[in-house]
Amino acid sequence: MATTQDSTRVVGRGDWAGWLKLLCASLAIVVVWGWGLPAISRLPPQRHYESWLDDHRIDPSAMFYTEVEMFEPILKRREAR
Amino acid sequence: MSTNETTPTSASDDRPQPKPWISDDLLAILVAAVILIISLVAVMGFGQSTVSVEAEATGSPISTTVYSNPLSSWIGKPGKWTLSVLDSLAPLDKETGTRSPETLIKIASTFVLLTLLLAGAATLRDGSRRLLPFVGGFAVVFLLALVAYTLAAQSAIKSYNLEFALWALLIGLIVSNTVGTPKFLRDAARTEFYIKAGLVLLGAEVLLPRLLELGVPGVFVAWVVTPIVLISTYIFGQRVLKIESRSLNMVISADMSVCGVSAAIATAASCRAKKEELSLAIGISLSFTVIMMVVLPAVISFVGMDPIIGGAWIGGTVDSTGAVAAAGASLGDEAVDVATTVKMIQNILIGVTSFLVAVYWVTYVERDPQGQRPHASEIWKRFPKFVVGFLLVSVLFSVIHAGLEQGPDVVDAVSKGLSKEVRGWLFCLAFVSIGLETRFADFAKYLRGGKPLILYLCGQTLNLILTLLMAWIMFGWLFPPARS
Repeated sequence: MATTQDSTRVVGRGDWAGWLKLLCASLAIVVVWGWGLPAISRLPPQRHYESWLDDHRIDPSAMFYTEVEMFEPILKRREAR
Repeated sequence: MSTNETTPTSASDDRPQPKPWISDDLLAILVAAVILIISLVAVMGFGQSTVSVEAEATGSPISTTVYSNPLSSWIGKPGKWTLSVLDSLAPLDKETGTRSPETLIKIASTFVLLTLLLAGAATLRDGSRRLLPFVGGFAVVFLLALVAYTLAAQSAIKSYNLEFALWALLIGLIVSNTVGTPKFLRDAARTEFYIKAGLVLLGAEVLLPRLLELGVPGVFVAWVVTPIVLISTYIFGQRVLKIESRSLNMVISADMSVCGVSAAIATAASCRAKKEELSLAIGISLSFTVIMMVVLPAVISFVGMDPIIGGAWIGGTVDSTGAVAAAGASLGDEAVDVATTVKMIQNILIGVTSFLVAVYWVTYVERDPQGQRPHASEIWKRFPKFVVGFLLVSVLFSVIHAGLEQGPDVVDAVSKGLSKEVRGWLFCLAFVSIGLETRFADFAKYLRGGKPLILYLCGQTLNLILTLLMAWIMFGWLFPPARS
């Protein structure tokens, strides 16, 4: 892939605005992941959905078939035929 | 690696550097080969054990050899967590009530292994004088990747298919668009290298005999529809939408028609797409996957579609592999069986797709419009060699899988114990690096007129229609499954 290294920049020590933006973004992450998402996970429908995924050994965020545990018995069954 | 890429220079030395004697492609193959050999030696040399199992036919006990990977206790990533991030890095032992350091130890040893391998590769490429800047920068990039992995491991995030690639990209973008990317980090932000090494490792999981798992119906649903949709979408993007960047068009077409993020990564590397093009394709794909994994099963249930046809439809159209499993399982065992198998075949098709895209790029897209057809030697010179490494690893592991009596167990142990985890880390490092090298403004020119979005929507609509038609013809008409 082609590079876009020139598009990045190096900010001087005096660029407090950049550091402030970084602090704000970090705080937003802390709030969303530290409070928001756990609160969503506590909701009964979400809790039910997550435990259903666990019971079926499904990770919806898996990128490749080898990362989904649920595939293993299906593959073993097919290979045994 | 792009042919127009310049040799990076260090912070303290901006003079033009001599061309490295070994290419990134060969180094990526070398790094992946070392990891696979280590894993294979560990499994074959130290991972065999004999267990007694009951024979199916006679019921009498028989001895059998099982394989495990002793290195699996040394390689890992943050685990799933729900309420406290501490559970991801140091999970609570329910019996003793104390936190286990096992995950942290695994992450630390993964860091050591990757540092040794990648610093070795950097030394081979650029010489030892650039070793220290690389190691310093790599430690920070790894830390950012660790943060991204931890964010992606939250259970609500995982449950909606929001993969680590998205968060790795976000973390890198936050740094580069606030305080900027320091020069020392650029030495370690080696996107192309991480992607290529990760793809060669992925070859060990691309097992070719599995392409035939579903027999004739599977061949038609996954093999016929997928290339038709890919090629039609690409032509539509070029001729109708007139998308300026062929590589962006190709990455979106492959991402949508094959299998989401992994296909996007493989094709982007094959056609030398720009980093922001890969990011854009993945962003669009993940957004629509979240919608489709919820809507498609609801539509199938609402119209009372046969679960097998519905499963094949989901497997062929929902981009992401994990989302296919979730959507298929919500329709029952029959649906998930077919859905996951169709998606697995598409996963394996990325090897072929990656190879054909690379051939098309070097022979057609990058040819001199005024010149003659390039000779075979010229094509080979320009061909991305890591694709050859990817295919060779795939063939080798397919032969081990099919040829040895215990082949499936050996391949499984090699992949699970080491290569799969390392591959995941390499992709995570790659997406952090993309973020570190990208400004938000870089995306603006691609979003003008909404062409990428229109391309995805039109391609996905064609995909939905053709896959449904083929699933109905194959599973509903020509080869209706026998149900007990």
